[in-house]
Amino acid sequence: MASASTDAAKVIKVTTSDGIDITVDRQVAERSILIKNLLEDLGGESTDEPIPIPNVNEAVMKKVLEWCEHHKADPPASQDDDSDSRKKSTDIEEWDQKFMQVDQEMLFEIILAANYLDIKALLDVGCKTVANMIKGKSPDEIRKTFNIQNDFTPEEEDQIRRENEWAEDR
Amino acid sequence: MSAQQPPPTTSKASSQVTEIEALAKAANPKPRFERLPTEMVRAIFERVCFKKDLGSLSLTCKRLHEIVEEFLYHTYHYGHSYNEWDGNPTCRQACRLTSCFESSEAHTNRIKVFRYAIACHTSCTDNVRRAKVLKIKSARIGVRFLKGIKRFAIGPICGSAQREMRNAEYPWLYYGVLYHDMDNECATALGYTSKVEVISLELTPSTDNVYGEKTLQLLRAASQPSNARLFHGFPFLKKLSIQFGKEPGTSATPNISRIIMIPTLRTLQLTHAKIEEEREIWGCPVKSSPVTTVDIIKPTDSKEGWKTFLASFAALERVYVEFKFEYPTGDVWHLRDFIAALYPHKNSLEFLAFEEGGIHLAPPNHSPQPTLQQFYKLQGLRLFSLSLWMDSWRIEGAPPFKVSDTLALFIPPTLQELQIGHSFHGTVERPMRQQMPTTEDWVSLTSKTPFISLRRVRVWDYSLRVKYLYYDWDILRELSWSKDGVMNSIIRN
Repeated sequence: MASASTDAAKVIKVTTSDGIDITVDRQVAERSILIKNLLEDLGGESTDEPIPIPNVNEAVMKKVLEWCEHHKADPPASQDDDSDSRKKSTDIEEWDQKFMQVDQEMLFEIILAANYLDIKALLDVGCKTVANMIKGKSPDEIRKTFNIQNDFTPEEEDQIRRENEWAEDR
Repeated sequence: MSAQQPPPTTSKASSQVTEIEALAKAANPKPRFERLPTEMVRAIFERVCFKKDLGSLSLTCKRLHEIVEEFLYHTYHYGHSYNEWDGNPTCRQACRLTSCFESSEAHTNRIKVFRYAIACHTSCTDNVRRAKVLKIKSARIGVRFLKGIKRFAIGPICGSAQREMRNAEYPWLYYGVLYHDMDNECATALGYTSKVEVISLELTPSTDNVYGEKTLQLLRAASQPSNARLFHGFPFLKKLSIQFGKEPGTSATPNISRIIMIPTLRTLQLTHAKIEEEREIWGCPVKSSPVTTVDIIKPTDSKEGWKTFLASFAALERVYVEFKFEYPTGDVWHLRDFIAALYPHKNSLEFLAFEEGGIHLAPPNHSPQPTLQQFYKLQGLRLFSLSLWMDSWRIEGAPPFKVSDTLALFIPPTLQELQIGHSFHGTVERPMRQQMPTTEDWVSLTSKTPFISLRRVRVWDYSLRVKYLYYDWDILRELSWSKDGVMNSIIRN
């Protein structure tokens, strides 16, 4: 049923930024549109060659592939996946919630990797996780959470506070 | 790499957080969040659902403030149903936002989309009462692209507003149901939309007032240069549509005399208007309105009313008029009065259309004979009627009048294009084939006055069909002829 070339292409290799080769199921790796497009461009010919991923290190890549493995059977991202309604829902499924319980450095690395590798659903989960960390916090609490330096003068802060007054109820 | 491998647990993660955060701080003085590219920060902010959270973010630091402003003001979408209304403090947001508009022009520039909706499940009066208690000015409002708005519509979506909306090519600002408190808010919004080119306004009649009066006041003020410092004065307003109530004659007559003098105004569309006779209400000083196109739909009119009204315009070039169906059969007197009132424009009128409605041309032997022969600039004429050549004029058994005989007395010799829409509404099928010239007839007619300039003719039989809230027609038979071979109409609609 399956042709020889698809059989051969079942497993692929990627090389991370720190020079580590990782072997992964093609189906799993293809959650990344970047990798999927690369493989399609190669036409399934030279899949023995590892695909270089110069922007993602081993630790992050493994984490990303862990997510891809779990989500390998998900339906592919639809055209209206970018719709506001999806973005505006803060719901994250339980597995993903647990998956995202990592340190901030890793969390942001995952987001950057998901963006680079073009994995929309993972980017979405990552951004939502950060959005949830912001939810309900005061400006000061947000600064503490993300270690942000307040560079406003008290006057500037006051001015913005006044401008934003209408948004405060919700 | 296995799907069964459980993700790290919470406790482990939190201990990792402190550890690695400490390490990251030591290695990288600048925290991770601040090093995120703007694109990623935007991706995160897109997923922050609450305005309050965006508000907090804007207070954290200058960079995030700059990025978040776009989201804070980009979309303002708020809606809830009546049941949630009681005691819900968020209802005051619309007012706060409006006052925010007033305090900072920068904000209105930032807003790209602003929607505010409160579902009106209960009766209007109940909502208005509640709105008053909560100090909400509007019960339903939708504002888009506030600053760059070029078209503005008020009132229920029907009639001319709906027609406008279907053809919308510009950013629209649309207000739904017009309550009297909302009138203020519409006027306020108009105060921000200085670039508006088209205003479509449906006035809702009430017992003692017309909702929309505030907007009319603003329009009236626009023609007075002394108000220039007070508000923008609609410097780009080209077209104004006003619908007076849902049905003809149901709305009070507001004073429009100053409105039609707005210097930039070129097109005036009035639906269901009562054409008043007093000049100070319904006209303006003779020839002082710059409007060149008028479109009057189902007016309640009178001979004197037309005279006063049409004399207000300096030089009309295009006139569309749709009389009510209710005119008595064969009222050529009515037509004659209208044409007489149009006389001041006989040197400028280029196109005249009698749209769907009760216009009847006189049979050739009738006196008086309404005629357009003095309108020597007239190039295009559309006669669009249920019953142009009434059977009731016919003597029993006599052949029907030839359309060409009737038209010979009606059209000026300058006419280049003729459109005749002809319906057999009801039970009587008018003998179009006998009355209407064939293509060959038209060709031979053009060698005779007054058909000498005629280049294009289009005649069609149609039947009316009611589409959602408006009429449409099916064309049944059609004859078209063009001297040049190409049927490009000189008449734009």
